[in-house]
Parts: sequence; C-alpha cells; structure tokens
Amino acid sequence: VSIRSKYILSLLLLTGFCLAVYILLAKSVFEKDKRRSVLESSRQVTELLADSLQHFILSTDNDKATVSDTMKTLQGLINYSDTLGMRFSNEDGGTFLASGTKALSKDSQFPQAMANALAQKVVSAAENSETVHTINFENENYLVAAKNLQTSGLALQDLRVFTIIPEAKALHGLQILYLKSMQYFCLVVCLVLAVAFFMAHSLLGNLDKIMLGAHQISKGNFDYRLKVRSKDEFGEVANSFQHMSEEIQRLVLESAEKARMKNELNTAQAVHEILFPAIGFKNSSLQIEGLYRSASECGGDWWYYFEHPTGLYVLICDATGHGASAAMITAAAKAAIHLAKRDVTLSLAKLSEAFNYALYQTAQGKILMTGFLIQILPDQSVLFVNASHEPPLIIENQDIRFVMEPVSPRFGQAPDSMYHISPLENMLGKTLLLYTDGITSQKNNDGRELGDRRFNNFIHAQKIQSCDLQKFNQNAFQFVDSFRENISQQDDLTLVTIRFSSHSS
Amino acid sequence: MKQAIVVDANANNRSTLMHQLSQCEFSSTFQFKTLSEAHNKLLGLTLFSGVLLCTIDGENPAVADFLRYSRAKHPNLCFIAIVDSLSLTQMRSLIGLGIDHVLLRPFNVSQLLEKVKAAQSFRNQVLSDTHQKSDNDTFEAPFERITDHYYKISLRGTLVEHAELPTLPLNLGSITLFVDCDHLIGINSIGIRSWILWFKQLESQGVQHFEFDNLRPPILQQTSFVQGFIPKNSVVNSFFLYYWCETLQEEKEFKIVYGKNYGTTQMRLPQYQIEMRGDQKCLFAIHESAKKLLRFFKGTIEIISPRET
Repeated sequence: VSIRSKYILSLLLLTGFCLAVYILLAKSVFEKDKRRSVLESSRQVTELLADSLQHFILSTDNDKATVSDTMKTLQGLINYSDTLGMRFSNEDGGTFLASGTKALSKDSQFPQAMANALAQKVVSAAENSETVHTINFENENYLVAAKNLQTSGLALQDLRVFTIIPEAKALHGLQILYLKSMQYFCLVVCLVLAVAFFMAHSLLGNLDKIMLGAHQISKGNFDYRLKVRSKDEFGEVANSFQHMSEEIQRLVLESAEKARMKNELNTAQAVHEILFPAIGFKNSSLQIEGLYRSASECGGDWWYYFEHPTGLYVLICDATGHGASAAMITAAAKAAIHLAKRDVTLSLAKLSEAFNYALYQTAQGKILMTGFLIQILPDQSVLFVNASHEPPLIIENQDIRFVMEPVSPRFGQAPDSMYHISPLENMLGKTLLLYTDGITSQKNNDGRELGDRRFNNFIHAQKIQSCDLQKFNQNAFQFVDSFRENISQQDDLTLVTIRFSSHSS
Repeated sequence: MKQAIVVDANANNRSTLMHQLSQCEFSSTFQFKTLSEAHNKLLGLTLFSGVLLCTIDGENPAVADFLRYSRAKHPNLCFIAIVDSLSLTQMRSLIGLGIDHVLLRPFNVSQLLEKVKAAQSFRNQVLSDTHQKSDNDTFEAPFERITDHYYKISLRGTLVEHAELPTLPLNLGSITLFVDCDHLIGINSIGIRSWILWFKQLESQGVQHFEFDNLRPPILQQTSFVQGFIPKNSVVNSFFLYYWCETLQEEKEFKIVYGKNYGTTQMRLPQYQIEMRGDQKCLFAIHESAKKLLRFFKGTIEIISPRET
C-alpha cells in the first residue's frame, strides 16, 4: 500500500469522522436547545406586548371609557398582531376572549370559529400559570405564553395577555439554520479536502522523485540527478540525497581504486616474497635461518644468501623507509646480486661495489640501503662489510658482543663509495645474529623502545647455541609482538641467524 | 612588565649597566654582587618576568645550579651572559648552561635592548611550545643567532618522512652552529637521509663547525653507525645514556658531558649510586649493549663493565 493511498484513505476517514461528529453534535444541541429557545422567545414577546398593553390601559381614562370601548380598542390592537390573544372578565363576571386571527393561521384564513375554539383551549391551559405551554389542537402543536396585566381600579377585570404560535412555524427558522449550517460545514470540508489533496500531491510528488532516485541508485545508476526544486525539507532531503549519491559514487570509485592498488600490492608482495630465500641453508659446518615480516604489504628489509665457488655469501639490508618503494629497491638489489655472482672471481669487495653501483643508478641517491654482507670462505673464515647497518651480534655461550668496526657508507649513497672489507673473528662454535633496527626500535604502549638490553636478555634466555634456529627466529618475533602490546609494528623486521659448528668441514 | 636583575662583582660595571637599563624603560631593576644574592632575591619574588644579566667570568659551577633552580621558580626568566670575549670553549660552556643569549662588552643601549628582546622572544617561544604542544612527535627546529659567529638550533620531535628541516639564511659566513638535540626523540631511515642532506647543505652555506648537545640514545645510535651522520668538524658536547640497575630492574637516563665524563684522552664513564630507603644503595651501571652507542667516541670513553664493580 503506497503512502499516497494511506494518506488519502486517512484523510477521507478523518473527514467522514469529523462530519459524523458534527452532525451528531449539531443535532443533539439543536434538539436540546431549540424548544427552550423558542419558548423563551415566545415568553419574551408576550412580556413585551403585555408591557405595551399595560401602558395603554393605564393611559386610558377609566372614568369616561366604557368597558366595551376599551374592549374594542384592545380588539383592534390584537387584530394587528400575529400572535396575540387576550382574556378578560367584565363587571358581570362574564368572560370575554379576543384573539388575533393571524396568530392562528399561517395563511390568515384561519376560521373565526376554530380560532375561538383554540382560544378557549389556550385560556384553559394558561389559566393558572404565566409559563409557556404546548397545546395540541387538531393534531397540531401550538406554543402558548401568557402574562397577567395590572387591572386594579379598572372596569376590566382579570386581564391576561397571551401569545400563541404554531410550533412548526416557530421552529421553522431554527430548522433552516440547522440545514444551512450543515451545508456550510460540508462546503468547508470539501474545500479542506481539495486543499489537502493538492498539498498531498505536491509533497508526495517530491517523495516519488526521491524514491525514484533511490531506486535508480540501488540499480547502480549513480549519475541519476534528482529534480526537486522546492526549498522546503523535501528540497533539503533531495539535496542531501544527491550529495550522498555523489559520495557513494566517489567511495565506490575509491574502493575500486583501492582494490586495484591492493591487488597490485598483493602482486608486489608476492614478487617481494620470492626475493627472499625459500628455505634456510644447512650443511655439516653451518646453518643459516632467516625470518622476515614487513610492517605493511611489502617492505624495504631484505636478506639473502647464495653459494658461489668463492664462498657462501650472506647479506641483510634495510632500505630507507618501507612499503612498495623500498621493496622496489630490494628487487634492484637482488638483480644486482644475480648479475654479480656470474663473475667467477667474485669477492666481497666486488659484490659491495656492484651492489652499491646498481642501487645508486636505480634510485639516484634518493633511496639508500644499509647492509651487512658476509662472505664465508671454504675454511670457515669470515669476511664482512658493514654499510652503516645495525651491528650484528656474535653469541658465544653466554657472551654477546657487537661487531663494531669498521663502518662503511650506505649502499646507493654515492656511485664511488669505498667499502671496508674486514675479517671477522674465528666463528667456530659461535652464532652470528644479523638483524634490522625494526626489532630494537619497536616501541611499546609507554613509548619505550625495545632496545638492545631487552633484546640481549631475550637472546640470553633462549640458549641459542643449542636451540632450533627457526624456532629461535619465531620466538624473537613473538617477543617483539608481546613487547609492543597494542602498538602496531612500526618497521619491517628481519632476523638472520648463522650458526657455525665447532669444527670446520 | 620589564624587570631586570644585574649580577656583577664589579661595582663600576654594575652602575654602568644600571644606567643603561634606566634608558630602556625597565619597571624595576636590582643589582647584586653575587649569584647567591640574586638567587635569594629571586626566591623571595612571587613572579619575575624579566631578564637576568650576569657577568660570567670563567667556569662557575654555581651558575648551572642557580639557573636550574631559578628557571624552575620563574619560567619566564631570560638569562643573558655578559662576557668580555667569546671563545668557542666559552660558548660551549654557556650553551651547556642553557643561556638564552650572550652580550659582548662593550655594548651600547640599543645592543642591550636588542639582546633583551631576542632573549625574551626565545623564552616565550620555549614557553608556548611547552604549554601548547600536546604531540611530542611533531618535528620543530627553532633557530636563533647568538652572535655573528655562533648560531643555535634546537631540534624537537621525531624526524621522519614529513618532517621538514628549516631553511637557514643563505651565506651565513664562517659560523659555528650549536645543535641542541635535547628534545629530538626519534629518527627513522628517511629522517637520517634528510638529516645528512641538510647538514651537507649547511656546510655549503658556510657553517664550518658543528657542536652537538644532548644527543638521545636513538640519535646517538645513528651517530655511531651511519657514516656521515655527524658531519666532519663536529664535536659532541653531551649525550644521554641509559643506565640499568639490576637491583631495582629499572632504567634511568644520565647525561654524559664532554670535558667532564669524556674528552680527548680516554676516560671512564661514571657509575651512579642512588641511595634508597633504609640506607640501601642502588648502582646504576651502563649495560653492555650501550657499547654500540659509543662507537663514535671510540678511544675516548671506556665503559666499566658491571661485572668489574
């Protein structure tokens, strides 16, 4: 059921109800008050005429005038009246009744005999009272009101004036008033209905337009424009609706764009993941395990290892910033590594220079990369280059120390940077821990950094010399997660653990 | 309301300065022979919104204590040091004391007024930053000229991607720039890149020497391991280290000062004993892991291992 139908139905019901109530109330009031008002009118008319007659009688010279003269004069007066009648007694105690013939006949053709008969009945009804009475005469009701006149000292005795009027005639005016009021009420109701229908059409028309707009938008037609020109609340609703439609369109486009970017980032993430070694490395004298987790879809941390006739190379890097741009640099870095390892005379120096050159040419010094590169020679001796990277940790039993010196420039800073190649101490039986600063710089709810002291304490507790390295790396990340609590991961995390056996192969 | 306190042991100097101040429309001026007299006066005042003009002759450890206590009671206090000459060592010492400005003798009334205005402006800036800043991470770098040869910049917040280092006036000349890092609480890899490029630009503008003060551990770490983070011809005057108490399992920051805790020859960093309730003494020592932060000071700082104590 449409709102329009509901509105019209409720309007009609309301109108019908009002009409019914009005008719009932009017009828009730009319029935209740009409008799009282008519009787009151009759009584007042009687009093008015009685007062006039009284005045006339008092002004008459009683000594000279005879009863018959006075009576004739009164009869004359009464004949001019529509409703008057009179009863009096003469000196002999006889009763004389006079009445206006017009009063008893609507068409003034009322027979004198019938008038007299009616007058006789009136007199007997009003004999003892001055109130108004209803009498029935030949199946017709008449209203009778009477009033005594002061006749002391007059020849006329017991003079009484009365009025008589057919009830139908007296109520005729009120009946007309009642019918007229009903006509006017119906006219007003019709006008109200007409205005209400017009307003409903106007308001519901705007609502129809908004509904049509909503329907169009629900079908995905966001270009649909509402044509509501009114400046009322409907206009405002239409404007808001229009704005909402445009915002939805914008958000849909944005969402589509985000979804596209998300897909691209997922692709980048998938590509970035294949930059990392799929599995760790293990032989009789060495085990390497690495773990990486980016702060977003992809990041700027990278670790890698590869075997080469000149030794086993392991590297960990951290590009400036994180996210897709940093990940792109790591791709360039891996390409540089693969190009460099084609050289059968590869050395750490050559690798560092090639790495630096490729990064500089790729990013033009805008994105740099810290890195720690190591070359494990077949005799298990180790060479390293530290390109401004977080110093790795050497763990020997319960002793933990940093690899402090020397420090070289970051990769990609300048095309001709020089890198210090240094030997690492004898690593047999020791563990080397390479990591990026995302681990130690992670903050917690209090704004405190995890820091080296906490990280070192964690390493102490793990007994790294004997534990499973994969498990150790996972525990380290869990340790960072438990430290940061509700704070999001702020930087990429990378941890590479290299355990050297206590004997060389 | 402009109020001034003059501290100078020399009566002639005091009367000259008081005469000059009388031409600068100060509402009230006070003169004292010694810092302790001025200190007593300031402690007695409920509100002091003015300048303290103090002659600094040589090293005076009392000045640092005086400033610390007076500033705590009167945050509006502007401190102007009056000196006869200003060497780099003196300037280093004055910056370490936390002075707002330096006035070189001889000076005239307009120079005095200029310094007072500059010191008050700087103090107002510090106060408004202290009161209004709710986000400590927002990076700011207010810059001021102390003399023709000495400039000072205060770095605050976290230097990250969107932080902008200020552009200094071109052709600064051969100047020494004091870099106060007391409120620089963090830096990321992009911030490091911006930092290095900015200092290179300053060097090309004529800054010949940098003096770093109050390096916090996150910055100190970069100092140690990012090559070129601290420009050549730089001195680190002071830095903070985290000390660790095994008994309390608590970490505290202590300030390490050049010339006091380390210098040109190797010095051992102090360990701090703090008395607790019940005559218990807790030892705060440097953790082994702090060694990596001190790589920049290799050869000048020796860390006492907690196991040695």
